[in-house]
Amino acid sequence: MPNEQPTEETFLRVFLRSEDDLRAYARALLPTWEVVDEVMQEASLVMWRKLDQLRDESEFLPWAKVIVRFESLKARRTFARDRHQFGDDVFELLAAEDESNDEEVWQRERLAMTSCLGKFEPAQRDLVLLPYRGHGAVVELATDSGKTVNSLYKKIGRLREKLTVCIEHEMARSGANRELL
Amino acid sequence: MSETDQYHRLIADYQTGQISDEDFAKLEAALRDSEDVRNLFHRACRVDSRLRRIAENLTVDQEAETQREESKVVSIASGDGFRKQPFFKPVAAAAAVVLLSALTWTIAAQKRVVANLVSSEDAVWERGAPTESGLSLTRGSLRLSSGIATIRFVSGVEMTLEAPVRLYLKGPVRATLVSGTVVVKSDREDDFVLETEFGQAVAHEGEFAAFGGTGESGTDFEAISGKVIISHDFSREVTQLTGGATATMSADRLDSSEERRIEPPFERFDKRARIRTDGRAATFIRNNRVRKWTRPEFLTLKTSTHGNGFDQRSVIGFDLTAVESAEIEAVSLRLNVVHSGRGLISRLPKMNRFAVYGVVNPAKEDWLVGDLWEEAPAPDDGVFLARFEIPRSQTSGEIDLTSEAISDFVRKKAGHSVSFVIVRETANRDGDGPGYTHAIASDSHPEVSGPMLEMVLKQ
Repeated sequence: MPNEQPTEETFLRVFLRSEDDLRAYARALLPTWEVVDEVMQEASLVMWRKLDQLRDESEFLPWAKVIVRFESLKARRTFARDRHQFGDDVFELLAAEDESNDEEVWQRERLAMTSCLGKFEPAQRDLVLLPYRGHGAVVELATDSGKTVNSLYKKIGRLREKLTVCIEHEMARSGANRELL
Repeated sequence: MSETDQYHRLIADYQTGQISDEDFAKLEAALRDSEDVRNLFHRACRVDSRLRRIAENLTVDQEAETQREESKVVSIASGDGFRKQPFFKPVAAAAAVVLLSALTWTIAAQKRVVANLVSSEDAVWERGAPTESGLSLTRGSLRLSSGIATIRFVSGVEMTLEAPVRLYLKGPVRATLVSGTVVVKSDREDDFVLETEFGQAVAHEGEFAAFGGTGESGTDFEAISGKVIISHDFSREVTQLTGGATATMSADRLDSSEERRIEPPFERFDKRARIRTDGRAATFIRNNRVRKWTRPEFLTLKTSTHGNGFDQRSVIGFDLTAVESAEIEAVSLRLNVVHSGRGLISRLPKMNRFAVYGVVNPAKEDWLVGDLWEEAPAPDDGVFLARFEIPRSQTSGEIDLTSEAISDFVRKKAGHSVSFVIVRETANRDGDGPGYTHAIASDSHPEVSGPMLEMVLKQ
């Protein structure tokens, strides 16, 4: 990309390739998806404006992560009173130690997740995805099914644990999980 | 519980916003002290991100949400209203101008006109939707059940819909294809994004066709002229198609070819079964004067405060003899609410609540269209399955009831027949003049579809 005017198509290609990983990275640094969305919007504009600083397309992800980290830091100032915001030291550790730059690991994770979700009953899958439709969706289902919101969240939490454990096992089985607990 | 399991639980609680202060402190300490826990946390965040993407891509749910937002018809499968626009699908953002306009649009004008109907040829829509050229379309779902229609987005992009099509208009430069065939023509330098279940296509000064389906059948794309960029959610592959090239996108792969498609794809709805009542639908009125007070094109619903002779409930039946329980994955009951023209709407409460029951009383399962009020299935003869609401300001729209209760009920009845009782639970308000009677289109309705049971079938 050096000496070349960045094109829409170039940005499109490299951004799309890395979008999910950037979102996941931002998610690790920020307490809610709402804040992640705001940070990603800001970060993407910065990336677009500064694309000509990128020397090589292969360096996009680490370069973009620096921008996301910086925008996340800025965002932290605006919600500094959030009681469930990690301290600066943990933020820096998480920002520095994302070991997810291995395309093979991502691919294995995606396959493992697909496999594990496939083992869930449709109702379980719906329940795992429910929080992404907003807290109100959980409240409504709890009301309709005669459960308390708290108990429904506990059930969702257990399913997420089950999914994560399943992914761990699948990863271990495929030999890619050498560094886990 | 092992230490690892404990961290899994803490992370899950944190990510769902349910973590206590005490547990948050534990999690933070573990992240501070252990690289392994940090790696575990990063992986959980990648899973969280992918789950969210899957949730975003469930366009059918999205349609239900939009339906509620647009027509104010509330189904039981609802969330908490309109989903906040997720982080911009970055394909559109490749051009910063498009990004900024899309964001502005999202914040400022959910109700703004996003497209207009340009032309239609024998178009039949499944909801109260455009019937005349020039009519405006706001954000929301469109279902073209037969014919051809062309719409023009306010951005200038033209889209031709070839029935049957289910489409969701999201904005001047964005739409979601749920199923069916569309041709997108863009003369703009900016991008137009067509989202599908497994990825998206970006039109850029060109024309392309999308043959879309849900489930494993996936979506095919063909560039007719200019270029179209296809991106695949799962593999994150991005490919560019130019005139004549094609691509096929499924859940786990994206294949492209320079060869022009010779034959159109096979119908993409082979994993869905749609069953109509075939006339097995009736309204029962408390005074039993059916011929005088009901009409064949309507299935009417009414409840009075004092239980007078004009109370009405409707019963619909579906023949499931050709369906096996094991092949049913999910079931939706679809009803089209139509204007009955009977009674005063102002006598309705602002929100009207309806309930659907599945008939389980063996003595009532063989009900007949000519039965008396006392003989016909009633809520007491069934199990509660679903509830929906309609504001009095809306007398037409589509109800899409999807729930595990309905699916379970239909599975149990597979191989036989199934009947549903529909009642209005809320009564007219006290006052002068006749209260409004709600109506659902029957199979005899001349303009919209009658009740339909749609089943997603397993392979």
